[in-house]
Amino acid sequence: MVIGSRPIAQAALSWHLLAKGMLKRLWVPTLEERYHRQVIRRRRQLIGDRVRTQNRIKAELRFYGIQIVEPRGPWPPTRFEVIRDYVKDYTGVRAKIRVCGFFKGKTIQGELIMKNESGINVRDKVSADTSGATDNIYSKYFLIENLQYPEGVRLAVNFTIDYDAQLNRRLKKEPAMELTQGEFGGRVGIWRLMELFDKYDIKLTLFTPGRICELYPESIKQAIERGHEVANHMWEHRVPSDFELEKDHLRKATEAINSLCGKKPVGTRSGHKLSLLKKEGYIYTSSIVADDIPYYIVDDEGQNCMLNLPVYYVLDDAMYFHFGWFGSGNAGQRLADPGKVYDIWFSAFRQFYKMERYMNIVLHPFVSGHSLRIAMLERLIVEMKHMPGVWFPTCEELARYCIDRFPHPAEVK
Amino acid sequence: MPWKHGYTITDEKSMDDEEVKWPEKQQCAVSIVVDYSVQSGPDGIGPEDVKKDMAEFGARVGIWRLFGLFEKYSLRATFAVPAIMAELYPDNVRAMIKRGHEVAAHGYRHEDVSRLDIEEEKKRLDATTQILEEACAKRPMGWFSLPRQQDRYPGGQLSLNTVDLLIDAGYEYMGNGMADDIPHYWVTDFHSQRNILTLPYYYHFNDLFFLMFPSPGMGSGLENPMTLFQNWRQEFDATYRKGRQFTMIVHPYLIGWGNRLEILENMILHMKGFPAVWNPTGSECARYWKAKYPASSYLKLKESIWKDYPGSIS
Repeated sequence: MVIGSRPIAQAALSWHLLAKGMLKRLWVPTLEERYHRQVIRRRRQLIGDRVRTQNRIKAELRFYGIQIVEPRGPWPPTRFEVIRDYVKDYTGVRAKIRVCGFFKGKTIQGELIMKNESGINVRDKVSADTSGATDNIYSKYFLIENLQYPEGVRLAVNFTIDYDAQLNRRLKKEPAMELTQGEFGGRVGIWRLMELFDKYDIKLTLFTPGRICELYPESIKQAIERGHEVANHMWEHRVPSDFELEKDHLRKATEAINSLCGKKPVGTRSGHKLSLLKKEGYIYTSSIVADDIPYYIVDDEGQNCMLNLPVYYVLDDAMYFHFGWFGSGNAGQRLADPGKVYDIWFSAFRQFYKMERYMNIVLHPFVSGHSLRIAMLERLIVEMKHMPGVWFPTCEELARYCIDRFPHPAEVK
Repeated sequence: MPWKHGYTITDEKSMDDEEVKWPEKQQCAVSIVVDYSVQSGPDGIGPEDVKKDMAEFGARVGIWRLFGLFEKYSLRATFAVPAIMAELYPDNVRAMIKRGHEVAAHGYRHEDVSRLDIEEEKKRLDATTQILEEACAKRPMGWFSLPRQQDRYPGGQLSLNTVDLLIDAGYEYMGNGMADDIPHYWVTDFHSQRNILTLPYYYHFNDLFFLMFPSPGMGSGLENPMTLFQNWRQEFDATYRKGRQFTMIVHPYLIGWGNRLEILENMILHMKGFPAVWNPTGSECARYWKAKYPASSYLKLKESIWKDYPGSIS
């Protein structure tokens, strides 16, 4: 019998069901099954490409002996969809479905077990050919299985600054008054943030668009003098779709920071292609979150991999405080007060500390530079510094550590 | 600052906390701005807007609650009054003057001026100045451009010409700018260093975005007075320690009702508990700042080092 191909499944199953009577219990997943369903769902979210999704799900499902054949219905069905189809198709009929199976070479053989009303297991053989499944399903992300920090360190916390100032406002063609909001970042915010973190001896990583070197050079020079890291954040806060222009923007941004700071940036927070980044000498990127500790991303061609320091919007100040974040409309705004954000960030810190993972907090000078948020950040830093074993490296420091000790297999010399 | 037209309006770095000094050794400055407009669309206040229930509440009840509070605690506020409101409520405007508050201009109808061309905008600006001069027996010193509740952007709208027109019309200060949290000079032309003093504004201290926001019918959980209060209190506490300026913006038709009066009074009591807090009106603050930190010595503009490239935004 074939799941995924509904008409046949329907026909075949219905015979069993009708023959054995009405089933009434709903499938209750075990904890493990629930977790794995979550894993499947989560991985689906991560991958945009339909084909890759299909391959991934095939790989996951094969652990459970659910057959992988080309269905006639909509594809890809998640495991939940498969079961839901059953529940939907057989209105009034609920099935407890447990699937077990084994993988034999390229063929899956498994069984679909359903308990009917009388509690009798109804078994159906399932089988499929998986020769369509690809081998490099996990090629996009390479998670570091057993990341160990240096002796005595439980948690690494990167404080990163997205030094956008008014560039993003200008990019979105926002009116003049909105640009003054960004200007606050260069004029006031960045200085306050540097002063705050210097007070507690924490080195920042400033992800700086190339144009900021022309607008606020004093602040960048000061940042270098005080020992903070300056990294790349595109040229004017966008990645052009044209390949030559993208290369040009990356080169200009790298050169701008190099000439102002005396050394080339090695990190980026952008969507630039990994191949271009590697050519310009970048060793890490910092954006998406397929894991909550540093991991490697591999690009589509499979040729280039780079360490990624994950960042999630929960730890991004603009998400809470910026009116119209990501161009969102008036009616969508829910401006927060610093206390709410402190609670969330400190809770994240407690959790990551317990789990010995990693934290990357994103601050925008035009947002966090306001006095009330500097005060909140100070409270947060004091609490963080209380705990033993918390390490505050720059992103470069942490990236070099991970790349040295936990390299991607392709990069091992 | 490496000035760049279209990106920057003032110099590269703000003043340090130690450099900022208020008169008579006061520790920090607190400005209260009362936006005496009513809810409207981007075209400004029209007859339907004024006839609404909350508008009536603001003009008949809310404003008097505010007057009462300010009198009780000896506070002075700057009332940003659109010309049309001055015409409709002359008694209220006279009361503002009599009680020692300042009346500043807030547009002709509190409209979004970015939609107007230069002639129309100039005409309305002159009309506003004239109307307010008649209503107050002296011309307004300051011009505000605060947002409406349903605006896309929370800073208030300006056209490309607004600041130039204000300088030409002889206004002493621009009431709201977000580039700093102390008064700063808004420069329109680098070579002539044409500028107008701008008072600080930040939308997190504007009750518009926390009380019944966005608007009845547009979601649930619209009332967030505690968020507003926390923002006010925490900013004031931090600003007091730094010795800078804190600006709060209120609307009579919002803050004058029920629970909001409690948080306003609590905020005032909190501020009153601190010694050496200066409470200027907009023009007092502007006059002091221009005398103490004139643009000729304190505005440090530097030639632009920006280069235009093909494929980059200029």
